[in-house]
Amino acid sequence: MDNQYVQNIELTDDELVDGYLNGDISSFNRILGRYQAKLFSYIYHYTGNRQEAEDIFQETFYRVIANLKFYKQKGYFKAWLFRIAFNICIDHIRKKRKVKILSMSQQFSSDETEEVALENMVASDAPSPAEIANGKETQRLLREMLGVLSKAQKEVLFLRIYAGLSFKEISQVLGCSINTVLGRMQYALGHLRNILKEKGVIDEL
Amino acid sequence: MNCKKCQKLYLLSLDGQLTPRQKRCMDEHLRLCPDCQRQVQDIRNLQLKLEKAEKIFPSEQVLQNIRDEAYQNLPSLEKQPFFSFPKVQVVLPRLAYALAVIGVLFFALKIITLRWQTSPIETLQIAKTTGDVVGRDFEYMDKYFNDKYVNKTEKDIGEAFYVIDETKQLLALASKKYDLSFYVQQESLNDSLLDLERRVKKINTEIQ
Repeated sequence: MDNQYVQNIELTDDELVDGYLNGDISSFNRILGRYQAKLFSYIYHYTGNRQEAEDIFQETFYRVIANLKFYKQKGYFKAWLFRIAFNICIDHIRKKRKVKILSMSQQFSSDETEEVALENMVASDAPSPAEIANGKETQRLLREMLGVLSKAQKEVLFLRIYAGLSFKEISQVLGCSINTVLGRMQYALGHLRNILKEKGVIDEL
Repeated sequence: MNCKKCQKLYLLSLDGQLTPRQKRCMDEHLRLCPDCQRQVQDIRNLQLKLEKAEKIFPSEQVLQNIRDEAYQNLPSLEKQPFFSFPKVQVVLPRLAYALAVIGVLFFALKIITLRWQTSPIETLQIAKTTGDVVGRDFEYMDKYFNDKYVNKTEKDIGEAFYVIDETKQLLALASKKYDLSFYVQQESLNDSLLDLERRVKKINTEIQ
């Protein structure tokens, strides 16, 4: 009974980090369990490819493990974790773009921006597992519509809907002011809303 | 309160981050603005739809790799065999000494810079060039005058009036510029500015 009671207590991220740093492996596993779905959903939608997303996910946690002893910003573990993942995603897309430009210089003009590269990946034709699983119209449309949004707006939107971060946490991850985050979210939602209305998909809106 | 600010406040309210004052402002605007009511309703619907996005999980193999990595790097496992006293005893006191000196210097410097901070007049000049009045600057101004009133000379009072008037004008100018964080501060700044003015006037009459 006692043991079960202890198991059910909701420990904070910081307490779990301390637990791991003091040699308790189960603390780490609980952190992993707590964030695996949100973090993976976020990375997956950012890259649009399951294999790449798994590589980035693994790399993120490897870096977390290596740097956990330097984690000093008590109370900001979630933002810290997503910031690491975000940086790896950015690096990954830069690298991928370089490879693409080198190997397919005919198709990719040299002045292609990072934004376009990201767009291509996100809006790739291959259906995502989420689509296969629940084939919902809004899900498919959402993916289609993302091409309209700017890179900055997408970053905010993804952190909000897939990672479920608060606006304050998003501002910490992206390193900009909360006002900027709110502005981008506002524009992103406005864009989506207009398109959905134009297409007549969401009449009740 | 314009519509753009209202909608930002609404987004912020989803996180439960509004102060009572902000919430009042938002509700009041929403009550009077049918356009914003519609927009907010749309945002709410859209958010609900977007948040239905299904959670996706990484493969068990990846999770196992991560667990293994975490286990191999478990902090207490790697430390123990390498613990050697002689080295630590030589290095640590010197390091501690150096750190202590740096620490003392740092605090001394901080105190000195606090004392010799720019005067309200100078702060004002800076604020004029940038067009911003920041709450922090103003708090300092307030404190500065409080300290100065010990002497209560006419020159100081004159200076105080000058700074208060100029700050008021700057506030009026800055409030036209769009900035949510400033908007939040603006009213409390105005309040403390009026408060300061009252006190300066009182001291002025005392002197006379």
